[in-house]
Amino acid sequence: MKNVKDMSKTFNNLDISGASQKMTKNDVKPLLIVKDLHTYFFTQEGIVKAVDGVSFTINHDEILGLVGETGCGKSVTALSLLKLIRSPGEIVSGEIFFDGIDIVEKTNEEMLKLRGNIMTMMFQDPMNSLNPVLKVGDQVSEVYLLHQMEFLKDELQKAKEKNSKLKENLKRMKKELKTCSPEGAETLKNQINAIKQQIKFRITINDIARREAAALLDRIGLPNAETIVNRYPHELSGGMRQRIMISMGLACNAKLLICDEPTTALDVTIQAQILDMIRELKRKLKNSVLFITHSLGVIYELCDRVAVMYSGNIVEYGTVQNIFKNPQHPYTQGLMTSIPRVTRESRAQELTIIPGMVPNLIFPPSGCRFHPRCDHAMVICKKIRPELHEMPNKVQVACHLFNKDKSGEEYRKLTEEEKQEDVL
Amino acid sequence: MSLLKYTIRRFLALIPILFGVLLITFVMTRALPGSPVLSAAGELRGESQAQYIAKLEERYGFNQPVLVQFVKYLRNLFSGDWGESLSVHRGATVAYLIGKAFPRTFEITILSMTLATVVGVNVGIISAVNRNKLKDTVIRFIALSGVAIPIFWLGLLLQYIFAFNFGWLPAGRYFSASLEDLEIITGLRLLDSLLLGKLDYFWDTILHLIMPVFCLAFVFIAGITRQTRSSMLEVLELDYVRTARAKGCKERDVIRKHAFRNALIPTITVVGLSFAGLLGGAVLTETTFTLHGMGWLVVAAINGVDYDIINASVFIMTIIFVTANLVIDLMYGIVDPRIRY
Repeated sequence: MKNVKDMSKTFNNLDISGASQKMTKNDVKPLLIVKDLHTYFFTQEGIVKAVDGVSFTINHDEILGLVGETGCGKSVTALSLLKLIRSPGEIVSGEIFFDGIDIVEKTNEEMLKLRGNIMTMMFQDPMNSLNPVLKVGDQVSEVYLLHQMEFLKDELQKAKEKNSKLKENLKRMKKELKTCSPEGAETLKNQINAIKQQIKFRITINDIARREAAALLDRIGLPNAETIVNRYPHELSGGMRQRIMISMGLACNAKLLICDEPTTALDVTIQAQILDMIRELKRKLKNSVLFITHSLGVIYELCDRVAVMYSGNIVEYGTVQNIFKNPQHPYTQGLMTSIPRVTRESRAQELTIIPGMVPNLIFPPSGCRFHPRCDHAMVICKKIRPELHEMPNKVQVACHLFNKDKSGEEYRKLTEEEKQEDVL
Repeated sequence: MSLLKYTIRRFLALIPILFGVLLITFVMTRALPGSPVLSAAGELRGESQAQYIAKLEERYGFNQPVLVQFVKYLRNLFSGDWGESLSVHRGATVAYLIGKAFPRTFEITILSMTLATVVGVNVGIISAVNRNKLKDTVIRFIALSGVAIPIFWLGLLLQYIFAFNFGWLPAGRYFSASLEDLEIITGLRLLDSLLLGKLDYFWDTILHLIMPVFCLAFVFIAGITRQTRSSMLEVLELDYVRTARAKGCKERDVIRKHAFRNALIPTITVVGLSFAGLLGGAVLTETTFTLHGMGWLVVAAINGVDYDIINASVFIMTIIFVTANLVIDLMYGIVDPRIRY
């Protein structure tokens, strides 16, 4: 299914052209390069073009926000990065380079080593993302067992050595006990009991993995990590579950952490804690984060750069400061003005909304997919899909409004009827 | 500890259930037209018949009010006297008849349900994992036919092919006529013959059981496969399965470790209830293969209006069914930690 004709040349306008070919260590290359990604779902109703020509990069030690309405392809983009798209979905074309690795060409077996190891993903809704019948400790330690076997074996060896040393000590002390004076016997007995408690009958690799899991939960700031590892997910609060999800992402010091709306199902105070945690961990681990959300507030709080997605395309892409200060794409502008603001003046005003609905992804609108809902829609918007262009403030915008020469019939404004013509 | 309390409470709840069931069956059998006495005196005519009936009624107490009979019956039941057969096997005690029939049913049930569970669950998983592929289609076709084919027809077909045409297997009964003289230890013929070290008896029983066990299992394999497939498909779409995949779990582990246990609960229900139902006797299969198990006994008792056998059988079935339900509920708790008692 690689022969899709509609290979829009969006990526030519990005600053990444040719960057993926060969990498040397000295180059400061982005950690992740996504070029013209198309992920389609071949359903019985038709082909759902969930991601249709998405390109972006994530640099080392950076948080990229991916924002958009429900159903615009954010999650599918993220799942494509891990090649977790399930049938009937498929990555139809495009390139994904992660730290020099060509993800699209990797087989599933090869991906198993990457997933959860150097790229991890945490999902929205921690209520349903943890397995209800497994102890959380086992779910976290599974990551160690999958990806850190060498480390675990070393630790197991150490633990066994320590155990046998303790046993030797015990033997020696028991011998001493027979010969020593009655005064010393009391303290010696106490020592023997203390050692007996430390000696384990048998140590397995699972024990070590569980110990590491408990240590990780402790590091992440969960109180009583030792007891929490033996709990089931339903016995924990939403915030705790989300922390456990995060800890699974951190078990292997991943280079890229993909967060798919991690704060959606949580209340505001827990949201703030989780965001703080992600920020803190990123600062410590110096890894990169792809943060997917539909909350512009969270993006502003957390991210360095942001990509605004609409119906399977990126429509605006740049640094958070620039986009929030001066949103240029009509869709981004619409998003910004639809944030409720509590000021004296705004109370009397009605909240601005973007008219219309998220488009059908099987038969998306022609040209610019936003044109049926756009106040500025022109004739050309219906014909040609706009590509990302770099604006003077370094933000990339995909919109015909910013074409230089805007004369002639092509640039006549569309009437409402014309806009709605091909909307299903 | 609460588990023990729960179990005890459930068993205590068995008492009113048993009382109610016994009362209803007792009254209903008495209300049926015909009586065991009539069928026993069927060959006599006129005066001698009336005398004989009166004699029998006097002997079994049928001339007393129904409630008095019921109280007496209850007293006897719990003192271990389950009454005696009037028409099915006149003179034999009910305890003896059931003691002979139940192990046969038990043996067939254990064998066929074990087979059905092992095959059904595995095939169901294979079917779900290969959803809509060729394997799945074939499995679904066979499973659907298993649900649709009447068991007696399948039995007859098997008998026709393997007993009549090829002569490989015996057509019916529990053992060959020449090998009837096996000492009874547990009543389970396979177990007894092994315990006594008589391999020829063991092999003979196996040959006799192959067709009925397969026949019963086929129907239940179909049900279990369909149930496992659908609950597995549901679970495979859930978020935590995606989480497991995102962790880098192998697909085999995703299914075995993460999905399977979650998909198990509906399957446990199906298996448990089928098991209990089978222990009450597989009437059609036992009739097709002339195996004199519980199903056969109950049908014969109903036909002959044999009061005590009907009552005792219903009594046993009730206990089995309630116990099976309890076991199912306890299994839920083992499989799913969210369920606590």
